[in-house]
Amino acid sequence: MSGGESTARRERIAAGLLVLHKRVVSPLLHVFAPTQCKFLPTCSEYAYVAVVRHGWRRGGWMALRRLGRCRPFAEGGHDPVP
Amino acid sequence: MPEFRNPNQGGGGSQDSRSFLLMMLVMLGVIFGLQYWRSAHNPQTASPDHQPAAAAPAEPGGASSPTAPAGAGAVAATPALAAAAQTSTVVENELYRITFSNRGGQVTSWILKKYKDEAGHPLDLVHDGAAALYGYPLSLYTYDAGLTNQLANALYVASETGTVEAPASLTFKYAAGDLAVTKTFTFGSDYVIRANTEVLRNGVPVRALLAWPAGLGDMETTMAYAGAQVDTNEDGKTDHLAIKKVIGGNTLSGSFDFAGTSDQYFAAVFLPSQPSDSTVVTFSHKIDVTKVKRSNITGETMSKSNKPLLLPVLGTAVGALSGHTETRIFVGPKDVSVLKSIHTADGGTLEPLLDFGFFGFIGKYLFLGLRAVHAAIAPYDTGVHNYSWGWAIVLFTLLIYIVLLPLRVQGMKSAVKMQRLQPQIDAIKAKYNNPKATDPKAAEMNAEVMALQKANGVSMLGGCIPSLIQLPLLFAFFTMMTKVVELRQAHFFWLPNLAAADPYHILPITMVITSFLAQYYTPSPGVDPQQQKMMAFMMPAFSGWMTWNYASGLALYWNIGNLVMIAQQLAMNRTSLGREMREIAAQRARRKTVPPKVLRAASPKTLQGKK
Repeated sequence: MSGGESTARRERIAAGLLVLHKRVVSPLLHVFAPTQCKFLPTCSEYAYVAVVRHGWRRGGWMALRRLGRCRPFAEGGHDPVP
Repeated sequence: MPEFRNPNQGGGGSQDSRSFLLMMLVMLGVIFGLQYWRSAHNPQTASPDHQPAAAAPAEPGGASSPTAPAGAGAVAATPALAAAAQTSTVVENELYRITFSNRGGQVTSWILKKYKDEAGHPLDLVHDGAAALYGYPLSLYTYDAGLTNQLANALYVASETGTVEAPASLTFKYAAGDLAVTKTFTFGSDYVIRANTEVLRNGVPVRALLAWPAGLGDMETTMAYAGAQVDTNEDGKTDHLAIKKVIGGNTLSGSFDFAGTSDQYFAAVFLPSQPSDSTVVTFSHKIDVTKVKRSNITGETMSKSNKPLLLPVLGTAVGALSGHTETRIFVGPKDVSVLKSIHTADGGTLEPLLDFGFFGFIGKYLFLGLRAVHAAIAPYDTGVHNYSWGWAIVLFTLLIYIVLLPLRVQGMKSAVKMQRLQPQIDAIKAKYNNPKATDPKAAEMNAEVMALQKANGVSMLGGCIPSLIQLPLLFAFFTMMTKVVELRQAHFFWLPNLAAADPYHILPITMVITSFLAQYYTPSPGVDPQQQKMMAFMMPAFSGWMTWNYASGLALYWNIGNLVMIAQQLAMNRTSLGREMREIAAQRARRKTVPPKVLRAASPKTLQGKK
């Protein structure tokens, strides 16, 4: 989180990635299997917010751990980015 | 993974219809670009400059007329032991008919009686054009090109001529000057033969490897050539080397339980009697199939133009470091039950030859299931030229979907509950007035939405389980389709071969329609409408693209799956839950009085809404 300019850039890139995921990756995954999220916000939104708030490294790691939480028989539910 | 509708639209995604259109165009570009790329990277158009420096094991005389099965060049030596004329010996059992020539004591034709080529004749595994250039099967390879040449062209004395029924034994002997060669082959009732070869120079063994030098199997289409690989098994670890990774003339050292060449369906694999004493040489050549032709197939030629068409042919040679080579050779189909019955010297089997790819462990059981279904519907029919495999795929798909039915019903139920809550969720989102995802208010809003869902018993317990099951299943099916020899040339109505693409593209086109319908009828509440539109277009296009040039068996599986999903959904829609859901959807579609800004965030423009 150094300087407003790099933060803004990070936010732009992360937003772009999120849109790419939602428009391309996610629909492609749906080709194979329709599923539903058990968390809110969804993993992709969570990742976006985490990266914006905590930076690439920490935010990315948080997003990975969130993906790990989405497993069979997990509770799910409201799970906001700290 | 699916998303709940994000009122924020991902913080930065423009969402007017123009950008959506642009998005679609980009997608189309990507899809058809990939299609083009795929065809451009077909081996058919591979650049000829990529020719590995191969050490040709043999350059027999008469190579200028490659179609002649045995070169006309003679070895001008004064042999102490050699035949006066060229003879041939045919060894037969129920499975094969192998023709040996005493020139080189090698194989000119290896016919598998249970399999047919494209023209319907018994399949000959030997590419005689390539063999005339680079050596025939069961020739001897030495590190001395002159000697290799001499061994391949000498007229050996054969212990038998004419036709011999297995079990049998066949010995070729040749001696000239300081050289003495003995090649003994023993035949049984299965696909395996035994070989015992020795080359002595002044009584000292010369390291001579028994070779299958160039090409094997179908080799009637560019795809068949591209399917060639070299398989090795070292201390229980199996390696499948793709064409690009095979270095011509390369010697591999190690303790090989087996090593050989295979194509999509057939293999010629050496199983050394003493793995610790084994050595393997790999061969890789490129032949111009417009010039180097097979005389033993009658099918149409692959290239109508005169442009050179370079295709790879692979080979292997296996021998003993000591010089005295003792090995078994399996030449036959990569059929699970056959491979399982053949044991290596170290107690393993040839089963790892059949490689089901990344999802192999699933693919294997999937295939065993498919085979069990086939065995149930056609118990006496083990042939491949029939309709039963197509029906087996249909039945097996139905079975899979029946097993997955409870999961789907669960999913559909929670979808209906979600749909019922949707107006309230819309209201919450409108109340918070479209916060940015990074806004703390978004978290508050999400918490409220979640609380509402919990209170109404919407359970997302299913989560990603359906995709965790269906994705690997599909990929396993994907790889299985082109790997199992049982599906080779399996007919099904208009399909000549379930392992090849549908020649009339009927299945892929049906696929596009069924995919669209399946997703049209399936409610996906809470999914971003933009995303939903994208899916309505992407899903059919992508599935059609995937199956267009791919094994029609996969399209068959996928189509049946889609039809089952449509049927399930239609049945679901008739239940009270389903009716209620459609009413809600219709209501939401009618409700157009929301202010424009909020409308974009919360408008229920789902496909279901349009119904």
